[in-house]
Amino acid sequence: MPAERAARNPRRRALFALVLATACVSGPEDEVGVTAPRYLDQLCANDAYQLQGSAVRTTGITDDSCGFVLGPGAGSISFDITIPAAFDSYDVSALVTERGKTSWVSLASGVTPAGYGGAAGIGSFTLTTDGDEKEVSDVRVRGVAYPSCSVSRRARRR
Amino acid sequence: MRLLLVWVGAGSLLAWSGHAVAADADASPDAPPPPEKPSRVWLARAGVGLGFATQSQQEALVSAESFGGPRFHVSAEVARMLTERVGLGVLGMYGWREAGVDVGSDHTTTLSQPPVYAEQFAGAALEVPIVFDLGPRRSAEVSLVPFAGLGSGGVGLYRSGPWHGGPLFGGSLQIFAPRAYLGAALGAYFLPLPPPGRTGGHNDLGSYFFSLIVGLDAG
Repeated sequence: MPAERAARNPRRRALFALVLATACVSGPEDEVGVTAPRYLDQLCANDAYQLQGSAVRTTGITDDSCGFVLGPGAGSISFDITIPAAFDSYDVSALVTERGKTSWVSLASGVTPAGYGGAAGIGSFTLTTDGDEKEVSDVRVRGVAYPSCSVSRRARRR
Repeated sequence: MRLLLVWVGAGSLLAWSGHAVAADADASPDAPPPPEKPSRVWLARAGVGLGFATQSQQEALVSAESFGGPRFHVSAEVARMLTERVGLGVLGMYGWREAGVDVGSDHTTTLSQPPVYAEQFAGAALEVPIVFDLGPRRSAEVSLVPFAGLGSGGVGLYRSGPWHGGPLFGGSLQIFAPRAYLGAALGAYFLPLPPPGRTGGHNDLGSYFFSLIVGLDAG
């Protein structure tokens, strides 16, 4: 066992610690998780949204999926979304078509609130319009879990 | 056995007499030239192909959702040659795609199981094949085959969606070896359809495709 051999020799032990520290800096890479396409259909099925003003629920990109239309006129839609506990940071986006152009629009992003305390947290994420028509086809949660790395001294055998 | 000999003998006699009549006609300087007769009368082809989706607002949405994959189709066509080079025929097509999710990047995982974006269409069209021979003894044919007709198709995520109708049109460039009964084609077809959902976009179930062909020249 190279680790045990290194533990016996101080110089080897120092070299082994250096290799471990280098490994912590260079990898493993951050784990990225993303909700699967049609996450909006799950939110619709769970009634996890609130509509205000001109916002209405409609069919989505197909006849059997869910979508929302905001406007014309002021309106907003808020989604109640669970941020997985495994995420250290997150980004919530909506797939929005406005004036013929489709893009992912960020509703909120940031570091997972410390208050979540290791459990999944539910947040409210809102998209508004002040008049222009916006079609919402999907919602996506994307999160990053940074790798944790620590080198601790082995307990001595008695 | 005797009957077979008689049938073969009669056939040979007919063939010889046909040659003799033709030779007589050729020999007569006053006789009008025979009308141009196409050396092939019927073309029959069947193909299976795959290709990239044509551009549409709906395809932009579907791509933004990370759904992707090739479109497949099968086709059958029969044409009658009106002249040596130009024919008129009918074409039938059926196409489909089951687009899965392509997240595409390392270290990225989806947090739930996504549905499959499924498309289907069927269509029929009139075609005008324009055929050119290649090589000695017509070892291969190159055909330009424009076509136009009507199609109908539907898309769905959790079940087969309602079908809508629209024009089906396109064309292909085919190369075909009559003696091997095999060929290949490059081409495109378009089937513009209305948006399949309220937040969906203008749809087109068309494809830029490559297909393999089996077929027959008869007549």
